[in-house]
Amino acid sequence: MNNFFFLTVLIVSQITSVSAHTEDAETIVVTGSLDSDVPLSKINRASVVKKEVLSKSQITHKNATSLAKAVDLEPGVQTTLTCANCGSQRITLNGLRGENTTVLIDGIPAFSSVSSFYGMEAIPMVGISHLEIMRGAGASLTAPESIGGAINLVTVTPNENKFIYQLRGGSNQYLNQEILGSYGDNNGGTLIGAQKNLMGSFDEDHNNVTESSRQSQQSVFIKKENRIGDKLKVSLRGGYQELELLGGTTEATRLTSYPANIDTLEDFGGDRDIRNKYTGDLSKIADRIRLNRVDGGGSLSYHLNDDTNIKGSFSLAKQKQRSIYSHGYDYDNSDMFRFFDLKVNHVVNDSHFLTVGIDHKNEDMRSSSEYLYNFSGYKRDSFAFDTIGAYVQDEWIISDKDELNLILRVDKMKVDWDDKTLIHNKLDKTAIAPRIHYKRVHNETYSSRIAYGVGYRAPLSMFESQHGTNEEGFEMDITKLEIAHNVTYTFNREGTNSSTALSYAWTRLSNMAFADEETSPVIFKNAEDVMSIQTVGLLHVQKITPDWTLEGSVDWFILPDSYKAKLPTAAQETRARLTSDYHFGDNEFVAMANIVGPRNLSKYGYYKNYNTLLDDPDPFSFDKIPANQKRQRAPAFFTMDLFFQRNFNRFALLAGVNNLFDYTQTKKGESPLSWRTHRNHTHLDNRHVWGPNTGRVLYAGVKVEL
Amino acid sequence: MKTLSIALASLVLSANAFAHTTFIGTVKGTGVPCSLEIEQTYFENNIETPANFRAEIAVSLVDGDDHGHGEGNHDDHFDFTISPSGKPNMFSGVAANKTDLINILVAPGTAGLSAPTAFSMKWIHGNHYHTAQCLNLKLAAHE
Repeated sequence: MNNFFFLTVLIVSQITSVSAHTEDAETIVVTGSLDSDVPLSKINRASVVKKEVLSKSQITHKNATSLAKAVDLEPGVQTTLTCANCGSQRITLNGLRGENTTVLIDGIPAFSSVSSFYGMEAIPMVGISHLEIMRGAGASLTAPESIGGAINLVTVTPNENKFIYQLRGGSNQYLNQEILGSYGDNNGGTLIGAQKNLMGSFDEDHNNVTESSRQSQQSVFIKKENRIGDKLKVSLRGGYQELELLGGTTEATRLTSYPANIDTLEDFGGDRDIRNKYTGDLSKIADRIRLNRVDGGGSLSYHLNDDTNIKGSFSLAKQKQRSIYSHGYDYDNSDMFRFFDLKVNHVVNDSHFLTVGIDHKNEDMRSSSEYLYNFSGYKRDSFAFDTIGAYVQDEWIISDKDELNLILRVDKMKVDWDDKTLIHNKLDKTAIAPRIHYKRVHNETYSSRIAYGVGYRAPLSMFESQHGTNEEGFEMDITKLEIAHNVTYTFNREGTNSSTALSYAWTRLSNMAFADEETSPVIFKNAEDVMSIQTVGLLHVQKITPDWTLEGSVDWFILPDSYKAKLPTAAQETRARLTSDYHFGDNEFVAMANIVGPRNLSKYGYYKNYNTLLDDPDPFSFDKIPANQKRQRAPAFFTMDLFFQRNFNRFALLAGVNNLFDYTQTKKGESPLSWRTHRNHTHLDNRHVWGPNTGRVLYAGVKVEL
Repeated sequence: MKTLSIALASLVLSANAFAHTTFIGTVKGTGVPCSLEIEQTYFENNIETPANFRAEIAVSLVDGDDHGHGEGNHDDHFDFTISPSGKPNMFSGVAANKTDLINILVAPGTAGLSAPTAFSMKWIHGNHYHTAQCLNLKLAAHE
């Protein structure tokens, strides 16, 4: 943590804004009274792999209570709402989809692509020390499927006695409580925490259909870490999370069975305009998603001698989902995830540090549905996934300016889909992935990182990519792994009072798995075209004074049209963010302004979305004619968040507002609700998402730290 | 009297002439085969007027066999009782579930269902409605 505090800097150039004194005629020693805890650089300097770090205080400034909210709008990161009704939020890195993002806890994979569909909202921030964001295929040694990259949740080390309680509440039923207790010393200790959140739904146009679902989440966790003697270190953690998403209705309708009739044609008035008030049965528009998750993990590290240590890690998670969708069906799944890793780290000499390891990942997903399977007789998407891998990594310190990581991974992946009537119900592939990470320190100020990596992923379930079209069943036609080649270059400048990072990432994605909605049933298959996805980012952090830091970033996501057409909702393509963090006395004031650029929504399939449905004038036809197409060009928009904290001896008062100007796409006249044409019928859908769907939230709270 | 008898006989004859007749077409937008089979024709209350013409028909949007009945994971076979709609050259009908609806266009100047050209259907599929049109109906090759 103290890496980001510059208490003493040796400089050779003039500094104008920080006080200095001379110790002798040869050296100027600068000591800055840097009261602010804002890091000067988001990039972990020591790491060859480019890692952007998000501190706990930065998470607090955003009023983020889940991982999805914490990482949103960070450089290269988007938290995308893929379904306004059910509230699914996917985290995308470098423009790649949510299923290409791997989430680790303390460096260990802990989530599957199925469990992360809703799981990003369930991951609590209590007990988190900081987040590491590693973008690019091959960013994580133990997660080859992280084609977009990996996010590592680093938990608090229980090495001191501490108690923290935080309570925040505000408008729109917002309530957050976090409690954390730590007992330990340098040899280890125990950490126990709990979190409970609630955010009410938003219906900004008051038409009785929500644009953002009601979300409630609660979790508990425990971590025990101990050094035993000089050679052994053990770390264990366990947790339980619950999440409930209630969407569609403003009355938090809790369906217990799927609706018998979902026809809403006559429920928006005579002209069937979805901007009118909905007057029909609430069960026809309600989504209810419930998640229960039990997980555990840990590691055991043993030093054989001064040069060699062995480390074993494991992660287990069982997640149950129960859901009822307004598309008229129920869908439940139980997902069991297991991960084991064993590695040997060995210092070969002063220049080479070798790691050799094997890992095994296993996932069993079983789904059930009264409507889809028992009533309709559709095919099941249950599967068993097994992969065993081996890897070798050489961290080569070539010189004091050059460092190279060479990695080779081999994985054998097997997928066995339960339903043998599927077009393809097995996948058995071996993949070899080389990776190279190179860091060059040009001088005290400038450095470069270049990385090349290969990532591959076995697509497992259409559900991980898209739900909602399952009311007519699906077919599985996956024959290949998704493969991505990624090259990333970052140029970094770190001065005394500022840092700048310019980065470029290019991903070549082959065999992208997607759900082809224009067939009946929907087919989950590999795309034939190869896609190039590029990201350019510029990040600058400037200390104006020791107490005032400005951070600005700009991101460009350059996505091909064939890729856009397969995304569930529109991605952000250009955006900028400016953050001001100002400390004055015992107070801290943070302002964050976000700008998102305009987009052509028709590229994302939004040309299928309409506001009204008319009767076909031909008396022969029963067809409905969609009319009044929804906006096809999303405008640029601006949002602002504010945060204030006043520190006292053992407690702090805080207050803030998210979305200060209450900007939502619905208030601009464009709710996500639409009539969507879909092969031979038109149905109500809630995917016309291009802007914020949560309005202004005012909040205040208290934090006690003992 | 003799003329009337012949006229009535021809009406009856024309009403029954196309029973158990299958017409094949293609679904609008997909080109998938579809079919209409006339199973029985009669007059309501045995009163032989155009207004009383009735027919029992079966339609399918997937032509799985010679008789035009559907195949697939779920039932694509629909039965209707149809009658004149009151609109020119069009018959309409309701299925036994009182929910599924059908309109049938016939060629102008033809009698009864002797020359259907297309049908349009709205049916309940699980918990929601679908609509489709079967166009370019032609007498099945084996008829």
